[in-house]
Amino acid sequence: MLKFIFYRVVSLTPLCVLIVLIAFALLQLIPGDPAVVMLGVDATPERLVAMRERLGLDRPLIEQFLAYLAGVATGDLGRSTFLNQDVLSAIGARLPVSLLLAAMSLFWAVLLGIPAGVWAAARRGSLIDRTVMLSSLIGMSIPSFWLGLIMIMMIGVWLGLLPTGGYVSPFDNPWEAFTHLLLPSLSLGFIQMAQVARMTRSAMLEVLRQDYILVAHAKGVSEFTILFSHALRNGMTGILTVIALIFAEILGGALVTEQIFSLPGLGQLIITAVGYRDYPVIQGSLVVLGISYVIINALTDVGYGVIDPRVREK
Amino acid sequence: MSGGRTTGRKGRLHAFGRLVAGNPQILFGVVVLVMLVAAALFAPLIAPYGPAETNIMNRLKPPSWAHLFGTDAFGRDVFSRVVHGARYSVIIGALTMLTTTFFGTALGIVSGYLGGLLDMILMRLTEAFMAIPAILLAIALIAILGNNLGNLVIALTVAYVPRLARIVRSLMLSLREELYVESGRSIGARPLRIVIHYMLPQLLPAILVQSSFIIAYAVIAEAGLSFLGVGVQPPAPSWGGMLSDGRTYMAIAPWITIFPGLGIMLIVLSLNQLGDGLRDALDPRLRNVT
Repeated sequence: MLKFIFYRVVSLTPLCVLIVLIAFALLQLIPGDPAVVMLGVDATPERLVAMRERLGLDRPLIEQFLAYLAGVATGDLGRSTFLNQDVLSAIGARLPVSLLLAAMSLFWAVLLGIPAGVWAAARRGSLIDRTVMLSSLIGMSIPSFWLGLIMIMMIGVWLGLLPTGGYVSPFDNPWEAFTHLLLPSLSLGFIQMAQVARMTRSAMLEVLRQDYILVAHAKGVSEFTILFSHALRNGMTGILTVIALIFAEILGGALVTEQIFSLPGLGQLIITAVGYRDYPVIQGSLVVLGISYVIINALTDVGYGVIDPRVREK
Repeated sequence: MSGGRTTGRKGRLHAFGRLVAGNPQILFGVVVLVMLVAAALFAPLIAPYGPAETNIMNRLKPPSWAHLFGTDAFGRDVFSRVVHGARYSVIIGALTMLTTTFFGTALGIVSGYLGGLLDMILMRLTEAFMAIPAILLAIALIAILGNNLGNLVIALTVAYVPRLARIVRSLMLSLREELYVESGRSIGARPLRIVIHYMLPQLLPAILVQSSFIIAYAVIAEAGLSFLGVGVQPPAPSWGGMLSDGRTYMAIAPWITIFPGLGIMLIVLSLNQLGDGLRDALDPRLRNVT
């Protein structure tokens, strides 16, 4: 198992380098001189020279890339031109909010999506199955930010049940933190819940056809044990793949959802950075979110190994 | 010759008619999409008011016969803006689909057909692109290239090409081993001929299915970007921008937010239905690939 984990970690490195390359290459696409674009046409020549030096634009391209790569490897993502602070600390201050929102959304998606999919598969063709499939179809078509707005209107404003925005750190007040993140995470997790339910249903339908399930029925094993212990474990590898894939979507969706619920996460930082043409922050966000996703994917692979010994042996 | 061609075209039309009529999902998708595209095309004829026509005396009015979807904070007719807004979603969705399909298919074919080092490099690159959330990649590209409709389409294309390329490539890998491709090679057909005449027709159903999903993704992403202020710029009536405008008045004028959102949901629902229906009808193998 340790060898398997080691192999996965080593195989991540080229992918992470490519993500850094993409983020680096984006800056090269800026039409004209990036220093002029960032400081404006009125900037003095001295300021322009200083900015070019700060961004390393006076060096050859390959040297610039290697310097950026080395910076990323040592945790130096450059300096924000607008906030006048390190990009890593600017992102680090906001990333926990985005990750907490994404994790909570994924939690709802899994907690509600998997049982819904299992139940629909177990009662294939029934009213329950059709209801789950119809809800998941509608769920996959609703933009999460619109659902967020509707939830604010109905649950927050009309019924007054939950806060409509703002953030409380879970270290300050766990209950308040939970209630403040409940609406955003539910609105963001709903679409993913629909996807998880659909994937679980189709994975379970495959597994439930197998002979060993029939044997378990013949032995008199309870339906609950058959579904959640015998069948789900085998269908889980496919479901895990979807969960890993949707995490990137959730992180992307979180950027928009944060704006709706006034959450001080990465989304707000990125939108502010776009407004001020703060390219180091935009680049840094691409690198951090990209690498976070790669790590999560690798953890999922390790998860396969834990769930399914056949994967480990391969 | 021309008679044969006409019969062939007629035959294809009949086959398409049977496909649409025989599958409720495809039928629903096609009917709703045709209605939405018609609304987008004939927006000036359908909308009773201009999308930017303000009437400050008539602001924040609830839905009525005079204003079917009510009015917004500037007294603009929400129904007229929703109808005109369909244009942006349809145009951006369709253009993104065309460019993504072209580049995604080309990359997938090259990668899958040639294999080897090029395949490995291309696939690692697509993996790296897919690790970055599509909307973040699009935001970054728009921030760098500038904010206009063309750059919006470029940004969304860059975000979605890797996804399609990987699907096409995985299908190419299995097609490469097919006997009829082998027979093409053995009679000396050139690679380009093999790809265009032997393999591409086999890929088309899968590409068609993916195309409908790509439009759906693009419509949602465009709305999200416009909502954030980095997509279609106000006062243009994009659905995402309208949602953003309506936020402030949600407690007193929810109709400003409800109707554009329903528009997005309807177009995405119809595209998802169309994609699902086409997949089941044309290529059930894709269930697991997608």
